[in-house]
Amino acid sequence: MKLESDALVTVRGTREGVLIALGDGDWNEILAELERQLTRPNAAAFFRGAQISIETGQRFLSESERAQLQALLGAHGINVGVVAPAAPQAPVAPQARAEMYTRHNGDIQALMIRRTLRSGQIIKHSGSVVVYGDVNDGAEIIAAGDVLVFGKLRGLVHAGAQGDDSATIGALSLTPPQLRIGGHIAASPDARGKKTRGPEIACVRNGRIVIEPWRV
Amino acid sequence: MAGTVITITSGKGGVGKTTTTANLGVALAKRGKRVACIDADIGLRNLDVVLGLENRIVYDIVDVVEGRARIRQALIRDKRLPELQMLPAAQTRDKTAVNPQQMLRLVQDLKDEFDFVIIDSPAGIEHGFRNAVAPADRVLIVTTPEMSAVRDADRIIGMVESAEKPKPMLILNRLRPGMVKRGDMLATEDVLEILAIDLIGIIPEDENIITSTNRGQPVAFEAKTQAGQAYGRIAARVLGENVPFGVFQDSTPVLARLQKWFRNPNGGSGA
Repeated sequence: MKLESDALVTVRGTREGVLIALGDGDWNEILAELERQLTRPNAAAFFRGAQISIETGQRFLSESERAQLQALLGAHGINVGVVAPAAPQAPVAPQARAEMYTRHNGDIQALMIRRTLRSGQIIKHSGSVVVYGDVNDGAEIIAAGDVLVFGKLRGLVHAGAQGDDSATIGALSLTPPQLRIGGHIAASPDARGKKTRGPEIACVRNGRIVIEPWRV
Repeated sequence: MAGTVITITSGKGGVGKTTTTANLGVALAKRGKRVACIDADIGLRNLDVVLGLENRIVYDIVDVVEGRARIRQALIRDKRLPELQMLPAAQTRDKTAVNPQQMLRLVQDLKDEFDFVIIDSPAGIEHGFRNAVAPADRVLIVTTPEMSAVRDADRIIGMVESAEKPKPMLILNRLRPGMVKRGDMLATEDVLEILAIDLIGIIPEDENIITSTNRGQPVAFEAKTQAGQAYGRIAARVLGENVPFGVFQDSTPVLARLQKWFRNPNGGSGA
């Protein structure tokens, strides 16, 4: 889904210890790559005694994937402290997020999600995000680029989260409690209730988030 | 043939998990199935009260897991309905007294002797929920037609999916047809549209539930009550029968509705 330059597995030191970041590729390829990195000559010395955390990026690990991961790491004598989706901390003020995204927006392909996002599920991506399905109340999408939802958008979306005010949010039905684009936040007026209005798109005009019919 | 394990869960508290567990247990047992109901809400034991078996508890689930009692000793047989048995929760411990592996082992033993093992999950998404869902073959989500409960149900469905269980089915509880008609309550279609899972039953709001819970006599015993009949239909659907979804009338007596109308003949939705 991303460019080839995107590593399947990235190992780097952080203040808290060693962070293993998993890329977005095929799960089996990722496991194989992780295995390869763990069996490198100096790996044992590198990982020994370190506090290891795993960042799972855009994926949700299923129970069996989690077990596979833990078995693989356990086989190399590594006990995992934290297995978490990328940056699990609570939402912060829009601009403060920017440093999480290190790559330029234009270089990154969109992340395609072919299912409904349910309450409590969170997607963070350094490009645009396209959802074929609904985004339910309580779900979150934070994207550096645009967010398009081919379904009903009822959750929280932050487009242009790196500070890009030109980002847009489109949905076949746009009824979120709040919209965030770049550094702007708009709360839904209470009157925006059940009426269906067809596809709509939100963007920033004159420093304010506006919603208009989506005509292509 | 090994029995089926059904876990009843919801995320939000107070939406009717325990009532559903008790009544589904009774309804299945009335159809001659051997049923074991397990109260997995350790520390907040309730199922025994709803089933009216609280005065017969000797051993509980933690005693079984920790080897102080055999499961046969801890199970309480319902005297009204010998096919129905219950394994009570411990009231003096908390959820961490049992782990998912222990639940799996415990349920495995019961599966050989029962057609259905129904697990009453605690509210929440933590340890207790994971204990309750780990052994499940089927998961039934209980929700009420309120946004807060529906959102929690949505969260739980996501978690059940990532636990690689089959897609859960929905029980919509405490529906008030009159309020839906006036547009004051989420309709069944609204809830299904959000949660995108299949419906297995609708339970109308019924005052009999409260009296039956207090008396320890689940409504599924009473064939005359609306809620009792609704639980009977859920049991039939669990057994794979194709039963139409009922159309409910408000249980408010006609006289009370007339009185309300005389007091406020113009304000239709003022109640």
